[in-house]
Amino acid sequence: MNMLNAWVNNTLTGLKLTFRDRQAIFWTYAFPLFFLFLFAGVFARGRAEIVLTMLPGLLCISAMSAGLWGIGVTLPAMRERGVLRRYRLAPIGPGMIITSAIASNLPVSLSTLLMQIALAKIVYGIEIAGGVFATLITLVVGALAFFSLGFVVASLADNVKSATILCNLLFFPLMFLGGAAFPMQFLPPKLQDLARVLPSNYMVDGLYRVMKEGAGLAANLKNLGVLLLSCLVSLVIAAKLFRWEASEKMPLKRKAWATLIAVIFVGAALFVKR
Amino acid sequence: MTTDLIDSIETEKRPVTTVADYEAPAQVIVRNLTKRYGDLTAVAGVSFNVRRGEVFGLLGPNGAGKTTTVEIVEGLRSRDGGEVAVCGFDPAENVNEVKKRIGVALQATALPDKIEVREALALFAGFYPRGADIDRLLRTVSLEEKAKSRFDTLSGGQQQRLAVALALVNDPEVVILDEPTTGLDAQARRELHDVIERLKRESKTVILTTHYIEEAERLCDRAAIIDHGRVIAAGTPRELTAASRKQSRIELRTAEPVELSQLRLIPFVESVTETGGAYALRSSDAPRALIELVKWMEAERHELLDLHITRPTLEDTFIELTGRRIRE
Repeated sequence: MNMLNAWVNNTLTGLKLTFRDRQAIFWTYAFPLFFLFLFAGVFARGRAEIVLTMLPGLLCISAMSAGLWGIGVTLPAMRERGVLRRYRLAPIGPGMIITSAIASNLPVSLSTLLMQIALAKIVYGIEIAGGVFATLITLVVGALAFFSLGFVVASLADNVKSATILCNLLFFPLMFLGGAAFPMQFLPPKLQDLARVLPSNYMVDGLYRVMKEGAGLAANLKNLGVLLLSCLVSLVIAAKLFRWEASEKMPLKRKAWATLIAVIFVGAALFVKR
Repeated sequence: MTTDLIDSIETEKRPVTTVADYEAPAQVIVRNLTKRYGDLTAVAGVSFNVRRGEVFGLLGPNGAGKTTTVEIVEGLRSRDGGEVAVCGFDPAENVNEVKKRIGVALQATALPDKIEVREALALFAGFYPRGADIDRLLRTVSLEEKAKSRFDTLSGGQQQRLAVALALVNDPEVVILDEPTTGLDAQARRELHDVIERLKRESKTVILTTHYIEEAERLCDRAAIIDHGRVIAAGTPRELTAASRKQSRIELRTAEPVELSQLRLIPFVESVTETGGAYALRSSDAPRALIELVKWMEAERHELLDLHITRPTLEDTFIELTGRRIRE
């Protein structure tokens, strides 16, 4: 009970701190806005039908950047500054830090995604076919998958610099191969097979089915399942590789474990598709 | 000057004891601790006990192995050899039990920039089964007026006092302060000394690492001098300075000139020099020499204008033991 209180307090404090950092909060909302008007206004020329087709990809890009940069770079920055070291002195584990960071980031990230949907509706008059609940669930599960990926980046990276590089290395394949920037069908077949491993595909596909085709959650179980599984695998790897201090070296044994888990996961995904 | 004199005479009459000498149980036991980083041996067989209710100093130059030693005690680092027990628990085995019972102020404590002082204390207090009273903590470190200030607006000294308050949020059995005053200006350092003296009055068990000799002399009940990963001397600051071979110096001025040869005849005085009407007497037993000096002056009806005594300091002991000054 006591630990639950501490968790809630830590999460709420994290949320409060996010809103106190004016500059960070400005970019959190400005970035999705910019992308919305670029996609909808410029690429789709404001036509509702095309805006709705593009929106799932756009929402996925927003969730990815929130997860990768919002967590993947922020956490190493906290580690580099020695903030995590202070947390380490308390009798708490990485689980507290990770789950609490997810819980305090989720409402912020979700609000930017809903803002994009609302603006697309108001400005461009899109008509969403699916239900609110199904849309919300798909958004949350997708966001969780990318937050968890952010923690993997944070655990792998030794410092902010390498975290930024890792984020870029992940972001662009996820965006271009994962169907976020354009439909996966445009890719050569060989690349399509590889692209099926990327979680962004499942978020984009899930959102497309719900928002454009009006599918319910039941028709989306595969997408949601893959996203949740990816979330789980990422969290296990991130927790295994978690480091409190910049000076801490990653033990070879833990590195090997994490690599093994990742290889099995990706291998299984490739195998299942074939 | 005169208080120094009275101090010396009084302590000479009483047996030299401190609270810590009454065999209080050891809260922290470190035995033959070793730690290597590749080829470098940072800690090479350090041993010491910290008893309940004492302020124990680990004194030594930068890179002596002080921080590595306390970080092993805190459970932040693994060790290569030796034994450690903190409140009966081994930090290598039971790190959470150790963490619950100790409070630590790191050499540099970083918190999120935008967190307020009171928020930070409440947040970290929540991580422990039992927490201290936040208002009382704020008073202890004199940060009542900064309770609503954000971390990035605090001065270095205030940040460091907040770090000490964070070390107290769980009402710990042992408080570890790692170089709490390094990098602070004189005023901020004095304020932090007041905080540590408050802890001392509350009979907290404190481990203090420092490379400031004055700090160890002023605050510690006992101290270990550590150099190149070894304890080279340990005891009360007085025992440590008494171990020094260096003699005390008694300086005096008199209304009328006195004969050097007569001064030399005073018991316990080993040598006498004179510069510009001031006499400097050297003695390895300054309190006795002083008593004899005063008796002689009385008998000879010499008028004393000025008198003071300089005892060897911990710095002298340190130089003697290591052959160099501590801040080199």
